[in-house]
Amino acid sequence: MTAQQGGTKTRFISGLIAFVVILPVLLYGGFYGVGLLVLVATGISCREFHGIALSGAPRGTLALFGTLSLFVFVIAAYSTAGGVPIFKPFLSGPAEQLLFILLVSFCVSGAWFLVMARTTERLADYWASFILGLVYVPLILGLMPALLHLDGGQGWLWVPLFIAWCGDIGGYFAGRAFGKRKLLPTISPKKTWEGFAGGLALAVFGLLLYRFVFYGPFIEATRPLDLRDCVFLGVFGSAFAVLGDLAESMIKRTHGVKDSGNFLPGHGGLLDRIDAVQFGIVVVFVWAVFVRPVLP
Amino acid sequence: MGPGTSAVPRHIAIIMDGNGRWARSRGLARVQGHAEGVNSVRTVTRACRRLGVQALTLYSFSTENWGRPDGEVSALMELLAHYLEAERDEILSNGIRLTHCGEIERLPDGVQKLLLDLEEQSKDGDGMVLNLALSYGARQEILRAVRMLAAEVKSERITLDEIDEDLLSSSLYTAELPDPDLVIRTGGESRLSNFLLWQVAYSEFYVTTTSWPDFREPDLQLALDDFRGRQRRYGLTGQQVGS
Repeated sequence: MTAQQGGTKTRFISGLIAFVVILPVLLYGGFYGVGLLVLVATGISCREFHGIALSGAPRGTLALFGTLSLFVFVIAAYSTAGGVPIFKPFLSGPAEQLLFILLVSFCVSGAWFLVMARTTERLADYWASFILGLVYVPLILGLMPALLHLDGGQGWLWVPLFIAWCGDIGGYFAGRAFGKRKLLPTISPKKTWEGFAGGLALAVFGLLLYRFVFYGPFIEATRPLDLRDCVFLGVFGSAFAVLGDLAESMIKRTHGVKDSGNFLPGHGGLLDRIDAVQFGIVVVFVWAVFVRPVLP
Repeated sequence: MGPGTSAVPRHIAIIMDGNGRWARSRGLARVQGHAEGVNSVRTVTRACRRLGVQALTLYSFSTENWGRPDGEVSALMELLAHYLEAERDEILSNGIRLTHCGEIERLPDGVQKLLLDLEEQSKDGDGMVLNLALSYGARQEILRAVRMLAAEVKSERITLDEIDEDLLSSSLYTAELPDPDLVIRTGGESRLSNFLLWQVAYSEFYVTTTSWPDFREPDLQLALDDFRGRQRRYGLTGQQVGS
């Protein structure tokens, strides 16, 4: 997240525009509104991912990647609503649907690279990147609208965003003030353990603030976050947000790319902006669906 | 059906409980539990028809349920409307006659219309009666019947002596149905919750901890096996019934 084209002013204006478009959809869009917004973001991100990791792949790979991504996205989005209604006659639940699309994608993409091969160079890398991309972009982003069907509803939607923002801000300031020991110099030379800790602390604080200030008057939620949610999600969420940031850097560095694209002037590509949110979504989903219900 | 044992109940009534808990145990919103519960309704209706049950009453929405949060009530109404639209073909093609009991005037107009239209279209069905208890409360139902009968007495259409069990039974919503032979409650609670209080006088009661969204054909079979094993004595001794 270190794009510097266009300067601070451009960066501020385009960020503001994005925020003004996104805010009402997240607040009032419901499942379909949020779903559509995230679907558009998924489309752009798929294109960017293709640009980074599949740019030299055979012609038509983007179309195949986009088509399969659409299926994966829709199935992930309906995963908390009992599965995609129109697929239910053949595939009864979300688990069956997801398993099916992943197996089909695995075989179809493998066959695609075999059939389209002119040389064997990097072919298996493309195949691996293709499958990575399906999990990394549409599967994870599809879980965002799925959060709306959880116990707690709309309240969850903001948690990955809050975690990412707080982690970012806390990391920046704590890193600048106290930063000494490098976190992972091979991937990201600037990140420090001190910044990491700062992001973590601000994320817990930010979630508590979110819980006590925004719940109720601004956000309709049937079941508010409790203290345990805030601490767990703040700690693990921001840790995974940093992991998300580094994971995206890893993908870019492997392919020798600096920015994922130029979606938002001054901010770099969309994937650069949402890398931390993506892993935040994973943590929130796992916590709300798999961990929280079995805790006393 | 006289005293003794019988193979298949003529009338099964089900208190469909546990949707909310089912959802919560999966981290899902309560509404998702109701949505999955609709799948159980479909499965159980099919199974009952195939087994030759004459009537199935489903406690879908009680008068007390109006007190739930607005969001949940409106979601339930939407779900009901969706159910009535989606199941229309299946109900009509299987000869199921749809009826209701309860104060359906309190339901949203659109839902009322869907319900009454489908009842009208399915009225000649001879396969099975599917009776939906909607905005239903048994005390309210008995009160309604008492008021109706009192008005009849007051206007001298009937005398006080003519009021007997049969007349009261036929003043209830369920006038045309036999009394339930078997009442099933899912979700583990052992209460009647204001359900068919008059009609269940001699019904067998079966409680399972299985939540309604998980209640499918094997669970129904367990309930029927249990019912088959019981001796219905109607206040007589076991010896009297057995002989």
